Amino acid sequence: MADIRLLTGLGLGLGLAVFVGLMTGPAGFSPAMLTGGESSASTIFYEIRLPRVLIGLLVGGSLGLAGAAMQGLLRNPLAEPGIIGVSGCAGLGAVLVFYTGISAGLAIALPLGGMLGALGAVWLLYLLSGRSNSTLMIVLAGVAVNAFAGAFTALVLNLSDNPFAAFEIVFWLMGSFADRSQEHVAIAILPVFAGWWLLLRSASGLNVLSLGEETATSLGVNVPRLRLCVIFGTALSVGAAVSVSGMIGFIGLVVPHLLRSKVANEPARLLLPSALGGAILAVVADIVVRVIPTAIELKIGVVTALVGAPFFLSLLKSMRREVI
Amino acid sequence: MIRIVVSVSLMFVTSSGWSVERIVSINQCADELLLHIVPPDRIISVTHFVKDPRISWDADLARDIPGNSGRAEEVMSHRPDLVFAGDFSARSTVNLLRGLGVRVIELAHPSSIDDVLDLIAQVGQETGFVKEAETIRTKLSSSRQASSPQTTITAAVYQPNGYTVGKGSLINEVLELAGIRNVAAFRGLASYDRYPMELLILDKPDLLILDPQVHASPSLSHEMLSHPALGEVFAGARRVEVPPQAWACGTHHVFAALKIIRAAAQSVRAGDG
Repeated sequence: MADIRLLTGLGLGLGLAVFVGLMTGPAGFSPAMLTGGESSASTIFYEIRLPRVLIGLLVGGSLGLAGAAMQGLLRNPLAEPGIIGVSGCAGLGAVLVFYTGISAGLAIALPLGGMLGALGAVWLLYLLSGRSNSTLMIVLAGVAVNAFAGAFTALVLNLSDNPFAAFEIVFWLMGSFADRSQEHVAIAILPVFAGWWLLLRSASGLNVLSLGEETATSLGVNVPRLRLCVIFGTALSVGAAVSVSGMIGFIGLVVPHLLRSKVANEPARLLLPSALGGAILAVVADIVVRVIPTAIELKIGVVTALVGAPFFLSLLKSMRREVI
Repeated sequence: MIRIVVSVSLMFVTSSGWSVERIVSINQCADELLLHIVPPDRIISVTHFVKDPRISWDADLARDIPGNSGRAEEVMSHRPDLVFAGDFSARSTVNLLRGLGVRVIELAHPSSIDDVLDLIAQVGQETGFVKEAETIRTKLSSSRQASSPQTTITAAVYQPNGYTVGKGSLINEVLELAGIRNVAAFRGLASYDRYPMELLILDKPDLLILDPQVHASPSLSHEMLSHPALGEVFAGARRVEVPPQAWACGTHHVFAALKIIRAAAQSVRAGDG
């Protein structure tokens, strides 16, 4: 099977990214960090750097996988959690829960807020675009949903009487893994894994669905159930991920797009490689922001957008006829 | 011409000479200085910040004075003779007010205790309450004399979003007065600089000085101060809380911070011995 080679390659790439990610940081690297010989060195490694890389794996994996699955479900290569507003609404949900102080008392409320926001967005999108699968409709609906989510997020932040809140819009709109802790990993990991499980389960159905909904139904695919699987899988994984990292765009667009030709355009075979590729991109982008010597650490969304926006444009160009 | 005549006629003579009648401040730090130097009936409006006891210790003094959000329109509606702004106030507001013929004094953010004393004198001179300002200056100068002996205790200040204070800052001078070595200054960090959490833990000072962990509303900037890594390395007496009211502004309140830090240094020394 050709996929084994692809998956091995991606796995090795991810291993390398994780390794470099764990070695990179202002405090450098020393072997004492691993052995715990000196307590503060191992604190740096296990409490600051490791959670950073783990959040990168969870967030990147979720965005890559959910992007590939949504593109399969909507049969549209532009369906990406950021572009269609799922990440934006997840961020809004998390912001509502965090700044009202609910998540200060109940930590799990944070990913729950993100998941509810994401769920609302996917549902709205599905209602709006219906069965037409019109690219124009999906992208325009995304513009509107994103505008609403961004504005509402800014409103909530500005209503907070903590003077720092208003400036944190940058984190929510551009995303960062900086100074996240094991606590953030702990609250996000279960919903993210549950979401991955749902999305991976939908693989064979998505393959048949590429022949069209009616054909898929006649071939015995339970299309409404498949739809629910992808919707809930996306809401769980992307919602929980965004609630601890903020919005990070384009990962779910770039990664499946690059890998699609390697799996003969089969949605089912695209899922796992996209998850791995998304994780690589997120972890590497997080290394880039740590290495670039800016006064204030760059947000990860800046790096992914610099890479992803040109991709988006080239994708639009290649499907120009279909869009109009 | 008419403007000059009007503003001169609004100033009137007090025991110490002339003084300004209608003062508006759009900067919290200017508010605090004014409230201690100028009689409250001359202060027509202060910022909303200074009226909030979670942000300022002078909220009581400002209780009956109308608050403003620092917008030119609010300021103009108070018909001020003199407006105090900070050097971080919105440029557009300051320029607009000046364009409308209002006298605006921009107070520089102090980077030493000498600067604080100068600011107090400046406010006294600009408002005509020179004697009142001089009284406060004399009191502060004497509490500064009582400096502590130099110790080997190290400390770092850690503020929301991972900022610290290094060389050339008022807070650095406060630490020096307490006989403490500021590790951020040793690292060559600037007066207000980012201090990556990894480096802070690597440097591992004896004391970590932060804002108290009680906030009305949560923010990510404050959340990072309760990062488990900091909790692991700086526990118990090594964690010192200085309320932001003490030194967010450079006013006479910094001496309250000095007192807290001196006490903390003493308890660490006692713990070591």
